[in-house]
Amino acid sequence: MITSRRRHLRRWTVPVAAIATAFLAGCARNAPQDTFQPAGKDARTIDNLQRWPFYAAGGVGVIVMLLVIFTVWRYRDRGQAIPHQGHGNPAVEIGTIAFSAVLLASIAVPTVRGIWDLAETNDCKMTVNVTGQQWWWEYAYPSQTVNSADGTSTELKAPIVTSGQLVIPTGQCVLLRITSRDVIHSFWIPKLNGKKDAVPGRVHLLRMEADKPGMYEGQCTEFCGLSHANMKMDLIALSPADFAAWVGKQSAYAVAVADQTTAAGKGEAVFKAQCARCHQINGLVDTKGNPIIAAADQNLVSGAAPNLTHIMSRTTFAGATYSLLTEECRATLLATPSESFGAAYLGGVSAGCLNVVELKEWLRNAPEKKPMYPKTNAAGKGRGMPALGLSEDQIDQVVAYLKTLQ
Amino acid sequence: MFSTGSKFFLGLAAAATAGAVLYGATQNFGALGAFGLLFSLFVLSGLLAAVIWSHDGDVSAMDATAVHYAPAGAVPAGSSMWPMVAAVAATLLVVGVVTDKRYFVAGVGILLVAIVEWMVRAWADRASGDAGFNRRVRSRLLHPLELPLAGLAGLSVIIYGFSRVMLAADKKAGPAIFGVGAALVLAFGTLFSAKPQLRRSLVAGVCAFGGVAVLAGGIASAAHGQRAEITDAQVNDHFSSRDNPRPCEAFDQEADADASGAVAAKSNTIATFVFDGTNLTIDQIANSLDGQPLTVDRGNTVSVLFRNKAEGEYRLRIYGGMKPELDAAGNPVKDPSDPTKTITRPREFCTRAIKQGKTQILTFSLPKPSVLGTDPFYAEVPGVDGAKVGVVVP
Repeated sequence: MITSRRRHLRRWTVPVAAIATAFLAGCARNAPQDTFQPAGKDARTIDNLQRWPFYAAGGVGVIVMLLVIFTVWRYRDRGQAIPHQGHGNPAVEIGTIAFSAVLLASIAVPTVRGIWDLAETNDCKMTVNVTGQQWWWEYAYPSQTVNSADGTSTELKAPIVTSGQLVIPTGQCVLLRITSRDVIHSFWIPKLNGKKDAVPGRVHLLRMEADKPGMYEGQCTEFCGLSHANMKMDLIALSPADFAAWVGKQSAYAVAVADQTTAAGKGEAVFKAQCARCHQINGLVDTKGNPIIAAADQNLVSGAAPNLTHIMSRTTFAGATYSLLTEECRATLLATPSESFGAAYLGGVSAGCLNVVELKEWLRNAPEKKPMYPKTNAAGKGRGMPALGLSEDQIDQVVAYLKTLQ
Repeated sequence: MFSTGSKFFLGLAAAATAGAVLYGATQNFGALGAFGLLFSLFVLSGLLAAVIWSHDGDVSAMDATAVHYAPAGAVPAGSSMWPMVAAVAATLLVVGVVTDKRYFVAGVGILLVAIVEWMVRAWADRASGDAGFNRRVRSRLLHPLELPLAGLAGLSVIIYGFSRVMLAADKKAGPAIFGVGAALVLAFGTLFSAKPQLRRSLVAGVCAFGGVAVLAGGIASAAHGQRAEITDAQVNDHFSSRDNPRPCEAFDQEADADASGAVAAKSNTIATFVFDGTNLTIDQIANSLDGQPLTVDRGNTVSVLFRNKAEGEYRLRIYGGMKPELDAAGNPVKDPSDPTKTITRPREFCTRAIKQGKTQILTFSLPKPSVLGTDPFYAEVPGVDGAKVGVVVP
């Protein structure tokens, strides 16, 4: 008797465990890319659309499955006579068609309305150009005046270029003009809006709006080559006042290191000789005082590398693949309440919080940290950052220099 | 020893041998074509051996006394049109070699169809002594190929004919023609499905009439030509500066080569420049950028529209700084008077001059930032003072 019960239990253990695992896999304490946790108006529009069909389709699916199971079990072959075979039942057929039509209409009407709402761009008070390339995102803010709903007015007198982290003011629609420099990518911040493909030669529009200050994570969702999985993105939402402060910081040019004999000064020289071939730092000048303009168009297939003028004002590097902050400092920043998030973010990367280990590893051999195709093609251009062959001293000096780029 | 089938393959093998020798002698014995022909010779030789060994797959045909009743000796049920079609196709193919690639492709296509039909027909005619069975065998083998291909050909003719009608018809009449056509198709489709008892000849007649009407309309429309605005747009090339003489340098952007007629490019411009005779204004696709200079991210290929509202012919020119002049090897050209310097020239992009009321697309890419230099970028209407808008590359 006991043996039989044990056998019975064993028979059910595996399927129950499999089902439980499948259910539990959907649970996560930290789910930064959860579409079911909308944090903005547009994401809520999508959430409202997907919940009702999800419940309706789920309900229909459960009912159908139960009916199938019931029918299979109830009418299984037990040697009984074959029942009467009917053909067609207009009442049932018309009824099910009508029910399905009503169900689909109840989904279609709000869906179409939602599509129109998400395509609206006239209410957006700010524009950012978003460009994808293998394997990072660039954000360019054209000259414009941003009039926020709370009365704050922020003037971008000159364009700002940054990468990895898109910074926007909260409580208002920001219009993203998305394109690509090489292959097709897809921009997606799940908590704030749906996906939008970045296609070379085309500009696609996407609304973006965040309710509260904070960091919202995203991921390229169109396979774009070797490091597609590492092509991440962060959206930083700041209060309009904090955003104005961020614009002020970003608009400033980098200042040359005063003492060239220091580690930072030597790092600046190494940067000019090696890194400035692709990376732009606004304010960097040559020995004659002329601005150094990066020649990424001559060295990279995409024609651009991240602008590093204010690298220490953002908290990621290598296309948002790695954190510039140590694990502890990043956790602290992410846990910062939205009211004080802006101040914490604007503080930038302090010396104590800099993730020196991974930054040095990156400078030592970038393709080892992030798979890329740095070997040049017939046109002399590569995809991604090559290993520069810097000595350990040079790496220390470059890190010291990068620390000055707040 | 040689049966009917073996003679066929023997002839083909001989032709392949001669072809391989000729090709190798005139081109190169190591060329792919020679290898292909030798491979054909190898395959054909194998087939030759197989049909000789199997007596064309029909032992009774080798029996002189059985020839008169064996299927292989049967007289075909009717004459075949496929030799004639193959001859026409071969002629088309030869004509295509010396005139137009399209004739050549059509010749190859028709020849392939003719060969397949001819071979299957020749085989099916002698598949058995029963002519009815032979017909069914042929249909069973070829209908899965014939019916979709015939449907595709019919559909292509209808689509092509209808598109000619729509291109020739007046812009306002187009929707009406399209609507009436669609309504007729829907009405007859509904009628035929609701009345399955209708005679097949009637249904076929109506369908044939419709097809002939569309074809005739297409031919008449093609002869008449496209409506004026389309012809005008093609002649004046409103939508692209491709293949037109320009004072600006020839474009080196790949996207420009395909900009002409590209619906995708025309539907995806980032800004429209409008010239009213005095001022050049810019309308960008984002409201927050009204009154701002055009911002183009470095290295991004973008398209803009230029609309001329002024009398006379004007063009749009975009200036993107200076760039080094390159030689054929791609190296900067040194200044003969000062070898320490390189010769530079403007990086500029122009539309062609267009008349009043016309619009043209311009696709370009600016690889260097403008904000750091002392040489500002701009868009202008050449020859008109003040008709200038800033262009910024951050």
